[in-house]
Amino acid sequence: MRSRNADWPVHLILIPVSILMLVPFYWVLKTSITGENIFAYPPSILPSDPHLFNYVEAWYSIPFATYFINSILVVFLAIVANILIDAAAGYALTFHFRGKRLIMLIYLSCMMIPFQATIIPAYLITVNLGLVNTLLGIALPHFSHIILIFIFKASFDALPRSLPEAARMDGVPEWRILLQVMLPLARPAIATSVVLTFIWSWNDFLWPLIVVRDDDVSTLPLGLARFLSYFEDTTAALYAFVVMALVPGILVFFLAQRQFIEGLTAGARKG
Amino acid sequence: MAEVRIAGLRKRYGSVEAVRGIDLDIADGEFIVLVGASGCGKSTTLRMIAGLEEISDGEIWIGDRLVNELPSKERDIAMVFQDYALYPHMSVYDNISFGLRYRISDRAEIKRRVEQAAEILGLTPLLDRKPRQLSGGQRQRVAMGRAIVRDPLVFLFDEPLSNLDAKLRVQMRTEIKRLHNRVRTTFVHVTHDQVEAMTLADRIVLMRNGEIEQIGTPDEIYSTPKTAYVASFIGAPPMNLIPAIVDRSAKPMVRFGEVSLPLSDALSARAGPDGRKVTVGLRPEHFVTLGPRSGASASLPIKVDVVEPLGSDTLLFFSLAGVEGIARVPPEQAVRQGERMMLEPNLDRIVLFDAETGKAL
Amino acid sequence: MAIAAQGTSAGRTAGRAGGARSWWTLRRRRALFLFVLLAPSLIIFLLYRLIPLGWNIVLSFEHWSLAKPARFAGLYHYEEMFLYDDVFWEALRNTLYFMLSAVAGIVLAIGLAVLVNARIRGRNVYRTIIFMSYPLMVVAVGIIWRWIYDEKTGLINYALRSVGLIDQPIAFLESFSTALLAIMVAAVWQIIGLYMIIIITGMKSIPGHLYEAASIDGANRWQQFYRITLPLLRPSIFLCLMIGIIMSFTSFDLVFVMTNGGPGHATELLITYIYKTAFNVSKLDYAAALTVFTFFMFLILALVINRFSGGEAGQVEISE
Repeated sequence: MRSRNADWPVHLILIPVSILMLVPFYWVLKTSITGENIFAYPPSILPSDPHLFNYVEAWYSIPFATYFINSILVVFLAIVANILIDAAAGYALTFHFRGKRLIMLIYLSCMMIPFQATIIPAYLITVNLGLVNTLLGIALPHFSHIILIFIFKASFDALPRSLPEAARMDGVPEWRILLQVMLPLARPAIATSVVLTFIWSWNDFLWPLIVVRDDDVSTLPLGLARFLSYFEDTTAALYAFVVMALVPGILVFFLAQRQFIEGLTAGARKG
Repeated sequence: MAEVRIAGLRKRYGSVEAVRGIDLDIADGEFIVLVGASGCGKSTTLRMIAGLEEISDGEIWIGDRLVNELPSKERDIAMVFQDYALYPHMSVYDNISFGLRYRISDRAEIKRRVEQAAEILGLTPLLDRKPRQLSGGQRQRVAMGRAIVRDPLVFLFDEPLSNLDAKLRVQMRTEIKRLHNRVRTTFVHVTHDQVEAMTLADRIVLMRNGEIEQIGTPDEIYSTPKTAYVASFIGAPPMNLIPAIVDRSAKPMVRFGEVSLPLSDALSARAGPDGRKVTVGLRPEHFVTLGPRSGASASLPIKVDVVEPLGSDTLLFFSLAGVEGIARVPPEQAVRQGERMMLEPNLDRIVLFDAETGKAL
Repeated sequence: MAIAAQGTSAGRTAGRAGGARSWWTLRRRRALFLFVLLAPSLIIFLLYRLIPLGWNIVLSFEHWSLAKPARFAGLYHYEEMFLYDDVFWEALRNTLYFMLSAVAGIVLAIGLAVLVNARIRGRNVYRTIIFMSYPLMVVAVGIIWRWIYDEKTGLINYALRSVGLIDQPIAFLESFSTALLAIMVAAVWQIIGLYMIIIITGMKSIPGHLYEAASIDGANRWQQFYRITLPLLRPSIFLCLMIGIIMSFTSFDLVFVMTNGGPGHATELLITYIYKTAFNVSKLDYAAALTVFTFFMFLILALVINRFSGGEAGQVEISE
């Protein structure tokens, strides 16, 4: 019980910090279920006349289902593509071959180019590919992430070299070695790539803003921004919409916090 | 079943040469053990036979085919890895049958083979288990089962026993031997353990620094080592190697400082001129203890430093001419630490090596 | 043995049917396999990283718009940028301020990491709460903070007025003096959890016996922090710094939603200015020149920081 006595100054700082971190969540949740005029002053600290009416209004006044399905489709495309493409590249990098250094150099230098620095030509390329205003056009730049390639490579490298060798000697084709031996044993890397790809694609805004024109291919962040610009002064329905857009991300975060953190700090641990 | 012929085999990693020209003919059905200290090139040689390493130079023939150019899956060989290489996510049945599925399309035949191999190895009740639910010895058997069902021309074993504890190692050693007796296929087995080599091999290939030091039956390797290195590597405790000088001033002798031993006629013929520096090799079991004042001419006066009773026999540690020596004597002889006595070597079992080259004379 | 008795198995025949191949062919087959594995990701990065980088550079030296053929422009756009474009300078200044906010965020995060990493009850709860804001949709976060900063009924104005700190409500996001600061606070709120996690990861990799040795030598807790923790955290801190710097380039969403660069250009960042130039007024060539300048400025900054950290802060895609 010695420790609990010594702990109180730490809690004295961390509890207010936690409250500060949580207040924005509370505030938007409170606003979204406030039944009366949200512009009343002073604002009520507790939701007055709590109501789900705003959610109903948000659902009907905007094509929420369309945005949501589009977001899910983009995320799904990106996740499947990342597992296949990044695992394949990561597996290739566990071999020794001529030109490997060059390939590594290409990956590492691509890592130094933020996507934001490529938007203009990327837009022109997407136009040339005929992918403007399509879900594939939104998802394509997310199809491979270098950090995930390296996470897959590290996880394959950690498996005993004798596993693929044994399979190879038994005559198992190379691509089956990857799919049936290596990939099932790289489950943590798969989980990490699913979580990170989800968060990155789900939250992506700038790129859809550039390549999407129509409502029926918009994703949730685009829909949110559009809603904001239609109704210059905000309505409670906007905040209901915000909550609905945040929930899937929060769920994924709570379900897979460990994988998420491991993926993000993969670089930090190497250093 | 097939013979394996290796000619002029080399492996280079950049400027480092791991295997430096190996010539080896393995007869059909023979049990060959490649043995040597770590880094001697034995595993690299095995991996080249397996097709897991490219061959820098030389040839490997399996049966009547030159396999240099064949990928390992077409060489008709099976290998048991040091870490067993079991697929952790597959059941024992799937582990054994996985590779087979790409060779045989007949499912019933696969099942028959797996069940038969499981029967031989006593794995039948374990077929549904995952590798992590198995003991070390059982995993070892699964790895062997995977090799057996392939019905290969050659079995390769890469230090398969080194991950087991001492007791299990002895047990699995017997099992490998039994398997060989049963299938009578060519076995190539790599180990760093000389006991394993002695007990398993039809012929031992002792390697050092990427070259073959000696090839021979266990008895040849043990009794007539070609070099001092072989003598010191094989046998536990190893052969005593004592520096000495050939003395032909009276009758032919080898002299260690103050004491000397007479040479047999056969040895004398090979021992070379007076004053030549040699190393005298004597197995620990080739000594008889005598009382301290024994007048026998061919005996060595020693002081016992340490006594190690092993039960079956007793080891005496002594020093002679500045080197440590070991004698193995019957347990009923009560020897005390610090005791002075005479040791009489079996003069017929003396081996002489050139002091400089280490080669047997 | 029985299995061997059926020696002429299908497997063996299949094995022999392969026939002789040269190592050259084998190598070529393996090279083809590796190429097939690597090609998809390389194509993605070629299309969306390498080609755009080169294209940007080419475009920045041309007069070009979607309808007309390209003409060589020399340094025209760069002259315009450096000599005549006040908005560019304002956006550059704001971006540099944004970088400074990252430093403040990292200092705060180190403090939080020390507290959360202490052996206290509920440390995982604190860690989760502080980190939870990081993975959220930035557009949504921007809308929430807009609402909190609201002049009439925003929580902050309400709180400040309740405790009597101010008489008149402040229009945080509409005022030239507070808008950028307000956005930076929201940005730090969102990313501080990531900094903290990275620093905690760094702390966990410090061997505990170092602290035992130090306390035997009589070092107090502050000395232990200053002499052991901080120096050994160098790689983690540099990684955070790298992320913070990249973020000052990539923080488009928050600004777009909260102020869209306003009032005037008081919250304009280089990235929002690039976006507007390219896609609102369709000056793609000029926007390319802005991008080229911005990219190389950040590249040089990143390389300098990497040099200082001894090459350990190379992992930058984390900020994506």
